[in-house]
Amino acid sequence: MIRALRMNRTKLIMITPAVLVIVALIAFPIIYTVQLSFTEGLGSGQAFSLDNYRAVLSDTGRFWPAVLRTVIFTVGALVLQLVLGIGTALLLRRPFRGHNAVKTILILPLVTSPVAVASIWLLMLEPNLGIVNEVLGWFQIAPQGWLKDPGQAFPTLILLDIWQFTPLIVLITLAGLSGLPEEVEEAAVVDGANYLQRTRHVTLPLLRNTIVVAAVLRGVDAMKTFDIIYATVGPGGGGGHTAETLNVYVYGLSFDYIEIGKAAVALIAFFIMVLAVALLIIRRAARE
Amino acid sequence: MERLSDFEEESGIDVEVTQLTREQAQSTLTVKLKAGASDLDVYMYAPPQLGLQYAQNGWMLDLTDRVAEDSVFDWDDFMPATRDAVTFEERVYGIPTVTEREVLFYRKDLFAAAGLEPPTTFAELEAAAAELNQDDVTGYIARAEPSAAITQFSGFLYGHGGDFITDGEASINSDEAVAAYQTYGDLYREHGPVGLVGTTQELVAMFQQGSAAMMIDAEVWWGQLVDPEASTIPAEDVGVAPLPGGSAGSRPYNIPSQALGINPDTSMEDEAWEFVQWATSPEMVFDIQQSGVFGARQSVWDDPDALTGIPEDYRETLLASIESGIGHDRPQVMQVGRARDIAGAPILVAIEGGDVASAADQAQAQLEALLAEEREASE
Repeated sequence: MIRALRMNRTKLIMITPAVLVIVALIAFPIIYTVQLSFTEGLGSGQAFSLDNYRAVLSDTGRFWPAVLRTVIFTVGALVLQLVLGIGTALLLRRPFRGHNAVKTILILPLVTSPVAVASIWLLMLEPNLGIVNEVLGWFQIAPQGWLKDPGQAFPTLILLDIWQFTPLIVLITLAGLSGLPEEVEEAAVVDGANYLQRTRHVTLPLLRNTIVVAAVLRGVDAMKTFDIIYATVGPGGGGGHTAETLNVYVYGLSFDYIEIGKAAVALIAFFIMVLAVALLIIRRAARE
Repeated sequence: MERLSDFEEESGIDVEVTQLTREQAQSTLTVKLKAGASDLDVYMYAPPQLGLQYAQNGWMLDLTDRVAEDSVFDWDDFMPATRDAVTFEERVYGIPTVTEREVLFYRKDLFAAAGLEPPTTFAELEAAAAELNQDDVTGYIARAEPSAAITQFSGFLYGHGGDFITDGEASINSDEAVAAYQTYGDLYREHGPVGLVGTTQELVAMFQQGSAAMMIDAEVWWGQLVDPEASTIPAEDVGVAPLPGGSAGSRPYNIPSQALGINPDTSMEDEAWEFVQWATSPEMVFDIQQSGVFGARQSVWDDPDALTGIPEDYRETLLASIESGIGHDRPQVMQVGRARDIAGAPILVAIEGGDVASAADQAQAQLEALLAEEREASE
């Protein structure tokens, strides 16, 4: 008994430094951000006030549209990525000639830096010199503005995100598929279930946990997307702010408007959003 | 940069230089100054964008006495518009280094083929753009992403006789301003490229590829347009002309795009000033001017030897633009970023062919509110 206690104490002492470092690294920035949100910002020595919260939360011109856009971007990209990703993984499940080559090609967008992806697509989608409009021209389709058109920039960005990150879902799903017991499916075959029935009632339910993990990872990541948006449409989410998500809005507040306090408020709102979504998905998955 | 060792040798001061892109520099600088960092002595900043804010926040050393005391330095030699841009409440906070003007670049070969002369008025500009706008060549290109376009729009605003702020009051819904928004938007929509161009790099690429007949932006891009390595257009076909004008004539901006300031928290005030004096001395400005970066000293502009090496039309455009130029190219407020977004919104509406007058009214109300907020904050 005493020996066990002593062991426990030693364990505690051993892990304390690591816990302290993690608390300092994670807790300090959060507390500091909260403090900033109640003042004017760095070293202003200003009194505690709710002005920043009032200003940001009543900003229907940019803050709330940015919140909405963040949700649309995340949901839109995630749903399509899951559908396409799981579908592709099911197709790639059985070995075929060139199986490995296809997998390698699929990974390419994933391992490319978002800024490089942005540059490539900017060039290809350039409205006046780009290859995409050139090709459309062969079919007598009028040139489109793509990322340079305030009305098209945001949907185009969702497409770019889908292009880049669907392979992540494919990879995770493939890993999950390879771990499935074969007996269950064989039993279903014996019972006379066809391919669609087997996929719907056997394979996908067995994959549930894998899919939840993939959705949480990708969902949180999609909410935080900044690089590709900033690199393609620039600060402020482009003309008329039509592609401005929360992250881009926070960047603009901090470095363009130099409103550090208001940026902190938006960041806190953003943090709560990300946390809520992650908790929601994990909770639901756990309950079922 | 290669001259830096001369300074180090003469003065015995070691200089450490950090080079950053414009956006990085702006965010790094702002954070450092706001936090009161002392590891920064001299910095290059953009007076039109940051000057007022930095001065009001006390992030720049007051140089008024130093420039006045030093007769060799000769503060009066700096062009009045550039001095104004670094002076707030009659105190001097920066020394202008690089100046910039808005000009019209055009393709001489296309103009000659169409029998056209470079346009001098907005009406002529529109007519030329209409005539030159063909399948594979866009008649006219300029920045269109609203916040980026503000500075290039300013010459249209002044040319129509307007300004962003008049006698301390917002004036972006005046008849002149609405006419300017309309002109800017109509030109782009009718004769411009597809999509909203956000940066000058994009314009330069289009011009270099031969897909634009005219382009409006700052003259500093000339070097890239005639660069044989990058451009498919022979240098002799690249023409430069003063910005066309409206009822108030040709009124391009003529601004100090860069200036040197000193961090008030530096421990090396005198050394920093010595460096600034050296970097902005007449000899230095002359040398830099010859390499195609134009400074702020009138004496150098008056020296015929300082503008050799550039074509005649370019030289004349520069001199004319200095004569008629306005010393600011964006709203002069503390929060320039916000003001650019506000004043830029009607540009987008104009390009999209919407109701410009009501967009201008809305922008006017927002700019008024911003000005009131800033007045309150400075009291």
